[in-house]
Amino acid sequence: MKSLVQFFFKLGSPNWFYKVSSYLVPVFALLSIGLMSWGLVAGLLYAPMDFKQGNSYRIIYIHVPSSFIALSCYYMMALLAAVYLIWRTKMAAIVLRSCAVIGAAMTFIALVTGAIWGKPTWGTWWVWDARVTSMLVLFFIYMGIFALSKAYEREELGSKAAAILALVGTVNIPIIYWSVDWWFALHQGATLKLTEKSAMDSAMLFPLLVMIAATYCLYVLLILLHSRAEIIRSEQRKQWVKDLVK
Amino acid sequence: MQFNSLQELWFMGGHGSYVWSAFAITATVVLGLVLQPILKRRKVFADIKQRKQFEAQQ
Repeated sequence: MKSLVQFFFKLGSPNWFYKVSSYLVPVFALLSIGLMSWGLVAGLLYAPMDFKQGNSYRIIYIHVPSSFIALSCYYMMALLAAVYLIWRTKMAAIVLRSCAVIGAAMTFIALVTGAIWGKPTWGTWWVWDARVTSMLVLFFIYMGIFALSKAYEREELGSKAAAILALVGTVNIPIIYWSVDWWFALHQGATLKLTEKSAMDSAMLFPLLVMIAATYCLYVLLILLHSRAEIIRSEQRKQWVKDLVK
Repeated sequence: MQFNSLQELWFMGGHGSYVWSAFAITATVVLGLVLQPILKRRKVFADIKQRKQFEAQQ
């Protein structure tokens, strides 16, 4: 128990985070490059064609993983927002800012690939369908959080405002999650289901699972890279950062 | 292998432009996400170095 408390205490120290993450960066870089090459070759070259949608369905191999990360990133951000507001941990605010950037980019990828996939499948680039609209709202929330975190002269004020917006924006998450069941519109239901058999053939499903694993590794890598850069920026007047420069 | 030639892979039965543009946009965004923190860190390190040299001259 004592060591666990110590672990969380250390996790809050930018210096310790920077040192430990330097060992994790190459691990996650290799994992994401390896898994992603495997998933892309399997998905683009070997997975069979869909009999209804033709080859356009291959967009699923980036659309679904990026949508997953867009949501997971928000869970993590909301948690960090709570940690920051309760304990004022500086590291929580730093990782929160990284989450906002990465989450916005992932939501953007999900929206754009969805639009491109929609054209041959639904005959239109954009619909004001419940899921599509709630994802667009998520994108704006991410942008708002990032903008707020940079909007104040005093960094702590910006972090506090961003954390509050992140917590308030959590309302949108269940709406996105259940939108395909609540309002049955154009967007298809979930392809992957935890409790029942998935709606996809295993030859198509396998590359998707590899791509999801690859994207999660990429997500961890990006969190580490962005947080490390942000640590260096905000601690640049500290002696330990000065010592890093020869 | 689902495609018999590179041309077939590129064309994807008429869906090539959709599939490849989606992958290209994603690759661009991901590349930007990876490069941005690396460049930012490099810039801060350069600033620190400059400040150090300035202090040494004083």
